[in-house]
Amino acid sequence: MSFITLNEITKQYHMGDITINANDKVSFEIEKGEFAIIVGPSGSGKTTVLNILGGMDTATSGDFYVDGTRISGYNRRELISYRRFDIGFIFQFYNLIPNLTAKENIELSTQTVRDFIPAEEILKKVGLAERMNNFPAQLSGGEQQRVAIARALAKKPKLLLCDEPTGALDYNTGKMILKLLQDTCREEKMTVVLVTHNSAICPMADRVIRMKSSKVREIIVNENPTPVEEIEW
Amino acid sequence: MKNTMLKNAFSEIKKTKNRFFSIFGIIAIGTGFFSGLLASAPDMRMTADTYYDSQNLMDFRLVSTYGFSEKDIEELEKIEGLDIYPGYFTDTFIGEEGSDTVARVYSLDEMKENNSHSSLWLTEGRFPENENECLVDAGKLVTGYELGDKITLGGDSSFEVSDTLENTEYTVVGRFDSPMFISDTERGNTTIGTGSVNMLIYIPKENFKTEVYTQVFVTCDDLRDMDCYTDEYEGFRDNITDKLKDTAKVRENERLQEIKQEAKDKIAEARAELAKEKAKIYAEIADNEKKLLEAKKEIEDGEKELAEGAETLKDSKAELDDAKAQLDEGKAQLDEAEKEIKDGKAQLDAGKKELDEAKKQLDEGKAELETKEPEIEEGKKKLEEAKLQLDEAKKQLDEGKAQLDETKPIIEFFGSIVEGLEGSAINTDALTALVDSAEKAGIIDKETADELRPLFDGTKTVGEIREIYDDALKQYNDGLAQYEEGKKQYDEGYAEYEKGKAEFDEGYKLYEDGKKQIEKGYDAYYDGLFQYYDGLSQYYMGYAEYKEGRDAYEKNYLLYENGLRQYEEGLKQFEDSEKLFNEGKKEYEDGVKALEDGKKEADEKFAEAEEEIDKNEKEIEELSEIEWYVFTRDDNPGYTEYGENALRISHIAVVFPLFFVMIAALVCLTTMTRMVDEQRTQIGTLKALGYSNMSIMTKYIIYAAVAAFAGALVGTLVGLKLFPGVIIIAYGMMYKLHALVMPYDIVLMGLVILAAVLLVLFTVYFACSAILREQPSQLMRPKAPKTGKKILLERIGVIWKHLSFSQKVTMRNLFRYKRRMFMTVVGIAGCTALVLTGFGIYDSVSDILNKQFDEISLHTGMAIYSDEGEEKADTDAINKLLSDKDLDTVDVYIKNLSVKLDGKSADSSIFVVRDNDALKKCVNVKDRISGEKYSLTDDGIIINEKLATLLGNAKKGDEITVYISETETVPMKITDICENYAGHYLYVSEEYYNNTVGEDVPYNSIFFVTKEGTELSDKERDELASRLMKVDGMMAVSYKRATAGTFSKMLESLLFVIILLIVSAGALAFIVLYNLTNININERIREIATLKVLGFYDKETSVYVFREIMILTLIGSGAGLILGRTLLDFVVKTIEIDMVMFGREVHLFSFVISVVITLVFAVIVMLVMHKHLKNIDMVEALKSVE
Repeated sequence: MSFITLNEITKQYHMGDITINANDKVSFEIEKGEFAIIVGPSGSGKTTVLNILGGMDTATSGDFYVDGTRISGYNRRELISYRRFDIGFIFQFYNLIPNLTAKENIELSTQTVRDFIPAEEILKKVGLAERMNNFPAQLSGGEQQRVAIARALAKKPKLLLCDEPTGALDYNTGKMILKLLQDTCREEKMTVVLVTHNSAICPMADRVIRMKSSKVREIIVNENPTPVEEIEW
Repeated sequence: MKNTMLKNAFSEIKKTKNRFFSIFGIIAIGTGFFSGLLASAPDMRMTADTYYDSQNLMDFRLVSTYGFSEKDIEELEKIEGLDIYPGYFTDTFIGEEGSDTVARVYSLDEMKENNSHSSLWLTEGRFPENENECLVDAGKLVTGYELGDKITLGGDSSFEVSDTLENTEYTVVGRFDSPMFISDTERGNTTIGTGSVNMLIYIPKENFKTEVYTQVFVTCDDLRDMDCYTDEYEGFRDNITDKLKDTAKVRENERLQEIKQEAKDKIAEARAELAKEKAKIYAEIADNEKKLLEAKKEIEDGEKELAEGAETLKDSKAELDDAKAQLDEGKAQLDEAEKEIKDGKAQLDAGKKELDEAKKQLDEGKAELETKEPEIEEGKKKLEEAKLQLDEAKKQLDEGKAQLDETKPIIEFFGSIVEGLEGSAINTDALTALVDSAEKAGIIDKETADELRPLFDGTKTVGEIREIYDDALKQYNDGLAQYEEGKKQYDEGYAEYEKGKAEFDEGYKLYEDGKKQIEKGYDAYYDGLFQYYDGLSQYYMGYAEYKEGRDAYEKNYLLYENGLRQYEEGLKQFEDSEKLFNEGKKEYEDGVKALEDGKKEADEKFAEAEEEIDKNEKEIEELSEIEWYVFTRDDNPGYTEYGENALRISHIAVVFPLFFVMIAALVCLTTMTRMVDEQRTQIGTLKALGYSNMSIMTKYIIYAAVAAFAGALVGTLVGLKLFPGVIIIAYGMMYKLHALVMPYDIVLMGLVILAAVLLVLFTVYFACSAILREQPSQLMRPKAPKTGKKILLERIGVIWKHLSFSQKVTMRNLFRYKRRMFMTVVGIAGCTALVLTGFGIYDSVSDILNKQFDEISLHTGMAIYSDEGEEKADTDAINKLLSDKDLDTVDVYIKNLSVKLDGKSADSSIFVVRDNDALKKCVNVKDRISGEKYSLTDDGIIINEKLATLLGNAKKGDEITVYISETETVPMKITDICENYAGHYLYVSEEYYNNTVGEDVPYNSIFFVTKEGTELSDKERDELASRLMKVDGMMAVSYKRATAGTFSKMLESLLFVIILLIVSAGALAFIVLYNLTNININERIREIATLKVLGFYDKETSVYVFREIMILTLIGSGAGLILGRTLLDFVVKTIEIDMVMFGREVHLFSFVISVVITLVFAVIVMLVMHKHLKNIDMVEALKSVE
């Protein structure tokens, strides 16, 4: 079995009498250490997949496995533990706690787990050693996203989930963030799943999952991913 | 545009129901509380007024020391605008002799009807239909009386109710509440029993025997139209009081003259009667004396008679004894003679017996002979008969022989014929001729011939004729044989007869001999009998003689016995007479004594009566002035208290809710600010689209105004019923007012709603103004996140380093959102302050009770007595009663008067003690704060703290002006100011009083104190009070415990109001906390969602958020305690009435419970919020940035 296996995941929302399928029998697999991109237009259901994968949301039907464990069917508390120990999440708007410094934001996360990378070390790694004691408001968007990535990585997750991590960033900064993610994937053998509507960055992925209208349209396995630096969009 | 905004506003309301309702709720609670409390006092008064009016409660009650005559009533009726209702009342004991229960008995004007003034509120039963039926009040003091029970009005020895009332036993037919006695536990004071009335009774007025009316009720239509407890009412009432007093003054004098005249007439009458009586009695005495003298003579006569009688009796006795002796002798002789006679008689009887026996034998012999006589006769007869028979038989035999002899020739004839016939035929004619020849020969007679003839007629054969001959021959032979036989028998019989004749002749000879002998015996017997009779005659003669002697003896004896009986009767008569005589003598002696006593008594009685009349005469001269007392409703127990309670509520109503409203405004502000903040992008867009600030604001104005208007409307609608309702019902437990009036005060409602809307609009303006000043471009961008900042604490490395990570985060958060922190702290502080104020008021009031009655007033009770005129009380008697009970006593002069300092005046009591040190026994005079004890000196006075405050903060050394009487003032110097809660006192030493006033102290009360460690039981107190009340001139006895009891009841009803305050404050606290927490969470929803994504467990998330809320709550509570303490001081000073100083301390418990209540609410809010936090949707929260 693959590291991540989704088997006919369906997510339905009920709005009055109408039932909306956010995900319609979505199935795919991602191997360990792969850099996977889920791409599709707005409303194609890609974020929903990511949320279900990250334990923030639950599927209406279907099941999925991460590292051989069946996650679907977890109860509320098990899902929290799953998020706590196995998942690192990166958002479009960083979601740093504004009242905490970069270092404290990371500590907020790491204090909940036993095995983690110290804040200083991980910040050094993302190149923010000097900005350690700055508050988010004192950091640029790219820097904030780097802190967010550091926060996600610090607790050594099995899986790094990124929801439009560059959506709020300018081109160069975005590129830099993508590089950081790609490097992390390669160097740390971290499995990264990235959701984006920007198909231009697909060549950098080991695996591209195209979604449209709640369904998986295409899964492309890229034998030779292009380094981010070489991609232009 | 307006429409759009309106629509926008309403869709916003729909979208943000929670927010809308939190504004709605806080406004509703705030306005409800405010308007409700504000309306409570007026509603209380209105309720009372409605009840009073419905019952036509009296405005005045007049009582006079001499009652009211018809003329008094006429004069009163002359005052315009008043309705006069004369009536009766009396105070009496009820139940068994010695009962301490006092009832005030009022008259019911009409049978079966309610009084038209101060009408009763019948709680059960009906009005009396008979004179011996009554109504009993339904108050708590009256227990054990059911409808149908009998109630006995009675008195003790000093008080006889039957002098006043016709009936003393009544059947309870109904229970009532009276508008004159709204307090459930007070029935007023009296001069009998323990000094207080326990129950009220109404009886038909026909029962009152009193000549004059004992009370007059007065109502006034003008006053009725006014609301009671108002200045208007009181002012107008005072005017009428003056008028009534004017009439009183006139009538008091006139009536006194009338009474004096009447009394003088009566005394003259009494004197005349006394003289008459005196003459009559003394005449009677003289008469009796004469009678006794006569009796004495009679007695002496009797004595003499008795002596004579005794002598006579003695003589008769001697005579009787003699007679008896003679009689006895005669008797002996008689007995001897009797014996002789009896012996003679016995001999005679024996002779007679012998004679009788001989006679008997003779008779027997004679009888035997006589029995033989018929035998002999019979024998003789038999012999003659036998001779006769024999003769007959001889005759017959001879006859038979003759016949046979006759027959013999016939037979032989016949034989010869027959023999001739033998063998030949019959020749009839021959034969007949033979027969006829025979006949003619006479050989045969005709008959035989006639018989033989047919035989030969030829009809008969020879054989047959032979046969007939044979028969006849045979018959002849037989007869011959028979004759032979008979001849033989006759011969035999004749021989026998010869033999019998010889025997009879022999027997007859024997009989004749016996007869002869018997005759001889009879001759001898008769000789003896003659002799016997001779003797008998002699005996009878002797007996007759004896009998004569005997009769004489017996007659004499009878005579003797008669005499004896007469003697005995005489003796008995004598003894009876003697007894009678003795009795009579004793009677006489008693009579003599009685007469002497009677004489003495009469002397004394007349002396007394004369003295009494003299005294009355003197009394009339000295007759005390008649006094009319004009009582108003203020004198009805409970009436004033109720008014004061309403006043107290009205004071609370002002201060308290204002604070409440302030908190409500604060919460509204926070909420609206948050709302506007949330919608900054929308505002920016609208602004960019060219909407004016005003039109943008319109939406928020509408939103807030609708919430405020609706909230205020609902709040006032509910509050105006709820709060007055609860308060009136709470007071209803103490005051029986059968009404509940809580009108909607439209003006108040309008003002409150308007105020609420304006207040909220102000907050809207305040919330919007900042944001509307910004440029649209700025607004459309997300609000720049607030820059994280190092807080001050971080610079103090020592502390910061020691904080855990989460503590640091909490600290950072706390100080970062200063406004939120401020709002929360202020909101919570406000709630805690309100709760604390509630408890604090209770503490203050209960301290009056605890401190005044436990720490300051040390006396057990006081007895106030009259010190004037003839009624001057016997203080020795009072002191004795008290010392018998082992009580310490202190002489005190106590009087209400006015004091003045620098234009400020106050009413106070002057309290003069005979002995400076004795003050310590009744009052603990000390400083409230330092506790330093003061002692009374002769240099000045000690006044209490509240009085000093009222006099414009008088200080030690100030000289105050004391109004010793209405016209006379005296300056007195303050030496110390002491703690006191109830009432005001000037403590003055005897000497200082003497020096300043220049008069002796007119002591008028005795304070008494139990010895250390002892206490009087309720029963002992009642007993002592009723004993004290019996001392002449005693005005009142009161116990500290009873006064404390009244206070504690006031406290009880206040407790309800306080609970109301606390509950309302609690509700407010809850809403404030909920609102603030909700806002806090909404503002930080992304942060919280992030934490959840990061894998914070639910508890960790809640703790992360709540830790700071908890800290804010604690800080808020702490601040609230300080705030509350200040608020309380303000409230207490506002609601304090002049006569009372509330406690100035708040108990530790109140502080603790206020914080605890706040924290409990906080915890409840957190529990609710915890659920809310759990349900926050991470995905939704993180979707986008606003």
